[in-house]
Amino acid sequence: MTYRRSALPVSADPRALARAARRHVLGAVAATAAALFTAGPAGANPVSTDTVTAELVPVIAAVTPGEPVPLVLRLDVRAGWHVYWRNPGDSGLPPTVAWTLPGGVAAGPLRFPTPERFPVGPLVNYGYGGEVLFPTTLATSPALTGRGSLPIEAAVDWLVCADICIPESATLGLALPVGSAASDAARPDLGDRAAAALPVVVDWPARGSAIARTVRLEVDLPVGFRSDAVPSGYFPFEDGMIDHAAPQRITRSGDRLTIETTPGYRLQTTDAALDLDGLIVFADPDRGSAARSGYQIAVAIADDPPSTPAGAAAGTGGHADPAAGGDDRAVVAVGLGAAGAPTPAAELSVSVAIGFAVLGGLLLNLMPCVFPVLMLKALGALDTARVAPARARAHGLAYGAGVLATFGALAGVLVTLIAAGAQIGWGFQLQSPLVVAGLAYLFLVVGLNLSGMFAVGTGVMGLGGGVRDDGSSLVGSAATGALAVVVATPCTAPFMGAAVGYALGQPPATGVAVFLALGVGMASPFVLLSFAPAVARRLPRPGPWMERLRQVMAFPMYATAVWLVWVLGRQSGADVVAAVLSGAVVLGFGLWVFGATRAGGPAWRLVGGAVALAALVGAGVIAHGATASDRAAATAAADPPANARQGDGPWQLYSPAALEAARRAGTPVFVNFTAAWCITCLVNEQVALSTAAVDRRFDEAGVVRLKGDWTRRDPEITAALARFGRSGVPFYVLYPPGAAPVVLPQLLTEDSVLAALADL
Amino acid sequence: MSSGYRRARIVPVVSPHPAEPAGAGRWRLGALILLVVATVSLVGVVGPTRATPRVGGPAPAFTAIDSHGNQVSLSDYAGRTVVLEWTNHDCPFVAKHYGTGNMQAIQRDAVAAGVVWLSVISSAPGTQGHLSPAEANALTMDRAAAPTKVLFDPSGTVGRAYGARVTPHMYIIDPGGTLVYMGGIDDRPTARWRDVDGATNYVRQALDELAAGVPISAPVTRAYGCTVKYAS
Repeated sequence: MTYRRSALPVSADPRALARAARRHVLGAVAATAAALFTAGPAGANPVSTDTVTAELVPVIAAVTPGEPVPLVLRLDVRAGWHVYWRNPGDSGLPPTVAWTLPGGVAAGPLRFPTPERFPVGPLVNYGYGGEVLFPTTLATSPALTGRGSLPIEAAVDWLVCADICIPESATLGLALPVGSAASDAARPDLGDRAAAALPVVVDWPARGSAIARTVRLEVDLPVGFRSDAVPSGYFPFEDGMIDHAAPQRITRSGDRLTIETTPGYRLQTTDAALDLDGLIVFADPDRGSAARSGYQIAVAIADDPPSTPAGAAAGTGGHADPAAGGDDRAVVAVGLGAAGAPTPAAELSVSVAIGFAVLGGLLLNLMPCVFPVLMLKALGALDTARVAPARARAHGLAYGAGVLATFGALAGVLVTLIAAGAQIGWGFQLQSPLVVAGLAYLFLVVGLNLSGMFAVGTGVMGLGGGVRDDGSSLVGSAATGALAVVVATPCTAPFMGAAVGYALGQPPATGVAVFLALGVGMASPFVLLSFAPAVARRLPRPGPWMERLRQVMAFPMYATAVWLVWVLGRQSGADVVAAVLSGAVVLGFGLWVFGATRAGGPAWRLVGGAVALAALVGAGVIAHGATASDRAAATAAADPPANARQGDGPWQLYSPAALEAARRAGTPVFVNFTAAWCITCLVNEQVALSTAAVDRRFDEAGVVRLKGDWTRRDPEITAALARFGRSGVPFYVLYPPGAAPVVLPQLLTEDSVLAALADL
Repeated sequence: MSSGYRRARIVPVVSPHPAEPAGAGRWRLGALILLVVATVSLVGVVGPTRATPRVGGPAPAFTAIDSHGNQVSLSDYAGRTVVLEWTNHDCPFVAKHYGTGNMQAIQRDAVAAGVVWLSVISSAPGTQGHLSPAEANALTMDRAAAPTKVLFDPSGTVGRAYGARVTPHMYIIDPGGTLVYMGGIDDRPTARWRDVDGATNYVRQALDELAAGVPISAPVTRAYGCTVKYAS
């Protein structure tokens, strides 16, 4: 490593000047020596002063013309001294770079890692001690192909302070090889570390105001973000907005942060625009005492005084952008669905989440996979109610208990898995091919039962049995409730996305409460019906028509089974589908034997039961075997079947990198998070996302369309959903260039999509 | 005042009710109202930790000892325009403006126009920029500076009353005792001497506008420089 001193501290501090003079002489000698042996670029690299070692480090080994070149400016600051953030606080200056670059190369801005506070007497500075990495990027022209190497020169100025300050500078030189030639100076690890220290750009809704002697900032964190942690500080980009040294009162209520502090000097003048964009910083004590994570927020400035905390907590509606006139940094705008509003989970309070859960539960009753089961059960119960109202009420309550118990169990499993760190969300059950196969069997069995191939008195399979039975089995009613919940899970109703997302981000007790509220909603129509004999009297009397209706209802069941097998095909491929269908044949045979032997003597019935049981077990083994080998294969290849993950027409495969690349290129991006098992998703894709008009509009606006397929478990998609406070699909988000993302409703129409795209 | 690795002076107030069932809504409302009331009254009664005078408001009165041992009060200069310059001769940002002769030139022009120019040293004893009266007078002579007076503020009382954060930090008080300017010396926040040329000098601009009787176009600007070396 050559040591060539080209930094001359400009300082009136006599001690510093004396040191500088000594160093300069030494440096000149070293420089002469270095010049004799190397023919590199003009500046040396690294350069050390008494307080700082400055180095310009390439992250990649060679330049590919046309591709960006990441570099890191590394300043290693002596203990007790510090350099500054982009907003240095009460005093100080951020480092600056003046580049000397060959033609075809352009430098991007220096990017600043998350800073810390340095109190100096009554004042506060923002900056860094120790090693600090400032990443930057050079843009290169494709025309550079064929060049041997690119000489890069960076004249870096920085101010380094302890109790006194020294402005220093260095001219750092670097020769970047082009093409295949590789430099051994590249430090990819440094690039990674530099990136890790940068603040994360987030689109958390944030509102700011300055009234009288208080600057106030309200930030809605994603649901359950860092559980109950309170940030260690707020760092504004602009100087003079807050009094840097004043205490910051930071409170957190659920996922709403409120930061209050004293205004800075610039807010004294009436024409100073309030600009509170900046960083929210959390301490990371797990990663070391000084470790911290910064989140970069854009703050919408309210014209009117912001709501009081109490009012804000009660507010639920998709906060429209309260931005001042002309301020287009919208908070995440939330489209309103036709049926009301899937409110962003981040905005939900506990009571509202429970309200939505009850509504969502009510809607579940209308889902195609649930409705037939319920209707038959209801008719049976009403029949009972005519003759024995008390028994009808008992059945109603048993059904309700079954629903609640199943939701409770489901919530327990989910909460436990999440507590154990699993990356799962609503609908996770259907990400397992084995569960999908099991559900397909279940629908087949229910369908065969309704068709009359076999009948059972009680138990889970006693569906609709109430029509013919005397309705004596309360266990049967409870089992029907459980079954209704199981078959309902694929049909995530529009209201449930937000409520379930909220539930999963909450402390376990709250989460379970929201799930139970779903159960209350789902059970209530039937329970209420059982308490209203007046309704029963208005219904037609039972008769042979009920048997016909029962048989008709078998067909939606078969259709659902077909759909589940299709999902299975998307997840696991044709071989698994064939195996599971074979299992279905075995199961069908077993049930036929069971049904056919019912009329025989006790021995026959025993044989029939045994055969049915064997068939059930056999089908289960086949399904398990098939999906297990598929699971193993998927794990081994670490790559799901192509048909599940491929792009689809104009839709490209979603990945965080693809999203980032498209956004960086300044193109609008539309992301469709979907899953084969999500009916709402499929309907939206058919009626709203792939129509000719929408397609044309997408093309006109040059929108990059990304599809995140959550049919199978995908931690990246789960994480992306979580950033918006969601834990399930469908989820649609539009990223306009240079603006905050816009979340679309869960129920799309062609018009709503076109409206969202209109501003592009 | 060694390295500032102390933890940030932030008072986190953890919400008393992180998440509670719906029934507790009334309680939460009450608690939040209480919190707001408490916060507002705290701010109102205790006030900010550091005085920040307002441009357009009265300039805080002060009395200090000058480099010749005389007591000087702001009220002594009632009816005249007063410039306050916070300074620390070893600060490289101050050195930029004295080394290039920029500061002396403004001082001379201002004093010639009848303005009172007070250079204030708030460096505590033992810190950078602290001077004895004799050293201060020698320094003024050496660098041909032209302030009306050099004032000592070793306790930092005057500096804190004005919210002076850096050297140089500049303030202008009109003949009526109203603060009309506070902020930096110019619009080039660097320590590079060559940046003096071509910079917009806010103090010169404000003095000219004040003399001409027109509104001051940039009454509050960013002050840049070294932190004032206050007594802790």
